Amino acid sequence: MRRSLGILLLVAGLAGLGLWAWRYFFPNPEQVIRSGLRRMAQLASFRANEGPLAKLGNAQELASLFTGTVEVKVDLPGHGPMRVAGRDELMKSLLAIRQRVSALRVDFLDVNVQFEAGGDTAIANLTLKAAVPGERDFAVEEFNFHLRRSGRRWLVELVETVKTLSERSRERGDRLTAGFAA
Amino acid sequence: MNTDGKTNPSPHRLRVILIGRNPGFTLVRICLLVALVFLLRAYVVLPVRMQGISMLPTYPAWGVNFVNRLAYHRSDPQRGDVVAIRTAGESVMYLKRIIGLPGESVEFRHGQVFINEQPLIEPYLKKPCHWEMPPTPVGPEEYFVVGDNRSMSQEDHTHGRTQRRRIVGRVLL
Repeated sequence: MRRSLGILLLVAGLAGLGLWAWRYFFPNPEQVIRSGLRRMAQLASFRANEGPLAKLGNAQELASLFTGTVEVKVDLPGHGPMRVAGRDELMKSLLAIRQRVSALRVDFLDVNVQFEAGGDTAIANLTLKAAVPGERDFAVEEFNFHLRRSGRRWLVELVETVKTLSERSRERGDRLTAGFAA
Repeated sequence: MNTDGKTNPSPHRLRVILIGRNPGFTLVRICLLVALVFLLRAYVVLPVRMQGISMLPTYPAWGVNFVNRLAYHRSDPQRGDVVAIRTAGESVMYLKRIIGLPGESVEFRHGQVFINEQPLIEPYLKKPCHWEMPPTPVGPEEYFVVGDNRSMSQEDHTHGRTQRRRIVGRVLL
């Protein structure tokens, strides 16, 4: 009895390990996209003491998650509509943000991934939350990230703001954060 | 006391308080309580933390409230309801008041709201408003929402049409 229980546990453990290894080495496309977006949020965040080399390296790595012909069409509070075309221009914008803002924490919340016909393109709908560490207020915007498969990677080819309220204007207030934790 | 005259050793009081007289039942009760809280949060009432000044003075800039998810289960949102509107999900939502219903036209004229050319009486407004907006049609599955703090500049106040599917529920308190 005890021996068969031990064998059962061993088989279950090996099966779990095998499943983990399979998912690790052969992740499904949604996992790859989610992992890429998590990395994007990490790279978009920076501390006040980020050195110039780290600043450049992180901005470069962040830009590498986008296609060469990426288009960013955003309508941010207080800035109005903006358009960035191409990875080089995006890189310049990313560095400019890092110069202008002392520190930033970026989170992608409620990521919903939908694959389009053919399976080589996908749209990730998400809420971007950006805050300066230590400050109570934060900015929130809903975005659609259009992604395209490139080998085993998924690169962002279009970023656009989603109008949660169609006649909207700018504001940094009036938000609810669900649950007990932000 | 038993019939043989011996006294049962009573469990330690702290242990009784922490895990009860029967740990098995306590575990079952904890599991049921966790499941109940999860179900309530997922389907009935959503606790939210409010942040922002657009609903002043009806709601403070900071605070805690609850959203009744069942409010519109059998009925449609009504004018004057304060509702939670989700973004990509429910991690961050907007808190707004419904002023325009599906099929109506909403207009701001010298701060006064007009619905289908008729002035809307809004007793919850406490400060003067000077907003201007031409008549805006509200779609069949849409609602026009706005905050109560119209003393803010119009450019700084998020308002407009939102789809029915984005309305999570009515704010409870």
